[in-house]
Amino acid sequence: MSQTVALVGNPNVGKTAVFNALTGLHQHTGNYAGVTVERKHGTVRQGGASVDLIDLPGAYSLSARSPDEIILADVLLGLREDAAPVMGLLIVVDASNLERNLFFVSQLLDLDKPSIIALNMMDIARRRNIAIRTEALEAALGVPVVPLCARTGEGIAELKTALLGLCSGQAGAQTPLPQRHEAAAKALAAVLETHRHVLGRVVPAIEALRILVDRESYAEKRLIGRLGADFQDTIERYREEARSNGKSLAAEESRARYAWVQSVMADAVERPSTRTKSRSERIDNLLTHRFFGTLFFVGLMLLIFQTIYSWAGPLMDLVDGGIGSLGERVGGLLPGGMLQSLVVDGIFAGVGGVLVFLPQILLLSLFIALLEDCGYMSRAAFLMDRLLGWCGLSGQSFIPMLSSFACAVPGILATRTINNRRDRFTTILVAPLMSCSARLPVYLIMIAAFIPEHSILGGLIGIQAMALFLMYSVGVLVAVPTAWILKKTLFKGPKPPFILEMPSYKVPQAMTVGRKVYYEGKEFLSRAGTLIFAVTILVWALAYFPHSSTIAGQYEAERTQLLQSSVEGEARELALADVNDRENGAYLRYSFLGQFGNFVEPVFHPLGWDWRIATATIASFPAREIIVATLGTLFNLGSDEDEASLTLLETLKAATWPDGRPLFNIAVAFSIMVFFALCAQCSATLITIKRETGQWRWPVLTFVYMTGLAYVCACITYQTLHFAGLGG
Amino acid sequence: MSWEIVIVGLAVLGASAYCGRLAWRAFHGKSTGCGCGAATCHAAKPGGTPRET
Amino acid sequence: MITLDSFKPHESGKVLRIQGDGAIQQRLLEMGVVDGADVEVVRFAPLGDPMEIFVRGFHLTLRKSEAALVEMQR
Repeated sequence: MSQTVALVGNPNVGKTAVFNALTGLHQHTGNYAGVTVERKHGTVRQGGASVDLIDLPGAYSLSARSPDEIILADVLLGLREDAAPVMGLLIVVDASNLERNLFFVSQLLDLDKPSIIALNMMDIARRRNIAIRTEALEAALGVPVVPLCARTGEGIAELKTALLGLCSGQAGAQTPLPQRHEAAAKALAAVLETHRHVLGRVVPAIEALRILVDRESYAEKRLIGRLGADFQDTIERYREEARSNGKSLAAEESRARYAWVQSVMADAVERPSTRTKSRSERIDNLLTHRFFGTLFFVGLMLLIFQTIYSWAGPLMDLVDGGIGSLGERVGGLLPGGMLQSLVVDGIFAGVGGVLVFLPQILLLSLFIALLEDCGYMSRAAFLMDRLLGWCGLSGQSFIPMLSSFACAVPGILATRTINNRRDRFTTILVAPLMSCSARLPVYLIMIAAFIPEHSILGGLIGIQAMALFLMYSVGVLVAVPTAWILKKTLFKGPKPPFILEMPSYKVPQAMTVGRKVYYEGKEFLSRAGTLIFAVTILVWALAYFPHSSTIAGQYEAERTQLLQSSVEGEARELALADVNDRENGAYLRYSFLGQFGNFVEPVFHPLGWDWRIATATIASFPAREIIVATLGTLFNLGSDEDEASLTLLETLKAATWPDGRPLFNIAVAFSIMVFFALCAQCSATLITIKRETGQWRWPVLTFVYMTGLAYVCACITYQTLHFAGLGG
Repeated sequence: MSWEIVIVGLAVLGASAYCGRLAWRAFHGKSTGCGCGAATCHAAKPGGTPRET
Repeated sequence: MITLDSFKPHESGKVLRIQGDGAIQQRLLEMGVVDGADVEVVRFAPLGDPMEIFVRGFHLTLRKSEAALVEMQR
């Protein structure tokens, strides 16, 4: 069996790119702290030999407070049963930012494992005139140092060779720490040795040191949890013993480590004496500027919506037309009846209606992937922190929330970098309010059908794109007070800190971005092909059956009567079409779903909805975009079959109440959009919340509060717009 | 007419079975494999869930 | 006593010490804001908070409330 090497390093050092280059395994790399949440394995092969590489979350130190850091520390100390014992370390450092990177290196080398330093981003270091003498660095650190540039592949072959010989190598230099610290840590470890039977293991001195230095850390809490609250006194006693001059242990440790780092740097690194502005700093002068930065941020958001709207339009029409004509042809091949209805009304009108939105989904995920990969996310957090501060959160919560615009699931997973439980849970509970890509189809269909195509500012910004922007703002505007209330009640606590690195800007990598867009598109398609397909069939069946023969007989009689009457020519055709229409309407009304719909319609009446919209909404519980499919099916079933080839847009525009009034108008369209902006119709999100919080009550709370908000806000929207005369 | 009923019946049965299986797996925290956020499915790997203490 | 939050953009100084002993302080220390370190304030966010500083060759953002824990020497 091959030996396991852990891949470790600070966030934003290109760790994932190194991992990909070494193993050929494909993951995405992000540019903000904590994208590497999942533990990934890969095998590095060269010749006949191989090494198992495990990718660990990026961190700045071994003191563990967030879930990410806990995983990292536990794997390195061999405390996780589900990870193989780590035999060696591959430490990735950013050559252009060596000083802070070496702080973590200093802690990692203390783990006393064979190690290699991968000196990544040599290209940036060279551009900034930072000269690094590799041999001197090797001598000072006591471990092999391999300069490389993972982005271009430079130095990867050398790193592979070094990696395969790693486990027979030796551990690196140890940082001289204050004597009293080491003595106290050893003494505490000795005490813990006597509790071995309770702990089930021996606690090494390095872990004892972390327990002493890192106040209220995970390691300390875990120990207290095992040995009882009384043990706190023992820890405090050893802390007192380690303290020498009234300074905190953390300050002493950091000072010792940074002093060591500086002695290493003095030998090996030459930096330009005068600080010249790097390219990244010059960009930041503009993008985080008081005025232009904010302007850029708002402009960027508007641009994204405008692009999704106008650029994707032609593509969307193409897909729409293709699906429409295909449905017509396939429908024509089948004999009229049950099966034709399933294929045309169920599958083509349902699944096809969702597929149309593939271009928009791809464009949106392209934008988000670009923003993540170039490093703008941290800047957005910097610009927005104050706004989030008003609701008791920090810029740390901003990154998961921005990711939630693509999908709430990765957004919720990204909260693992937040170390405070209260802030993490608050973020998890409001992240699903961000408008994810699954809401996009709902917005687009409603806007395209019912918002006029005017434009303002000399044609620069369309009203429709503005409406889309407005819908995206709704989620944010509601999330702010919600988070504020949560932080005042359930998760009461001080404002979380905001200490965030601003990584240098990077040119987004085509591979990384392309892969993200590809996965997003693949997921969307596979969801349409599996879940949405299945739900559509069920909705169709519930809306088609029982298809009672009494109704058929009744309308057949009416038709016969009409044919025998004196009505002739065009008038007769029209009358026949009307009978057919009413017949289809009757089938739908007396179907299982129709009866259920009649039962729930009064509940949704204040929102301006008829039973079809209401049941379509309820059926979309598994995933929001299902509503587009179910609306397609329901409105197609209820109309004459000759019109079945109409696109969903036209079908919706033609839909009426039983008394002939048009069903949809601007007020109803907005009430539907507002409902979907705020509701929790996404089982994947709810399951992820359960998984991340460990309790069912949090997803239940999320569902209840979001559905309640959605109902109330949709109701207010409809009533207000109706009152303003837009409901006619 | 009868083969139509057979096909439609099979489709409906298949769809119900599929949805039922998804719901069952999701409720028990297993990977659904339906593409509902690739991350969800990855997170279902053993040990992928760090817990707060 | 001068603290980092009172610095103006482009102003620089040396860290004297960090007040207190907790998670926030430790994160600052790990990021290199250790006594003796040179720190330059780069800018403030549009709404006046948080601030961006340059320390040990990289850029770090923190809130004024956190910067107030850092005692400085001009």
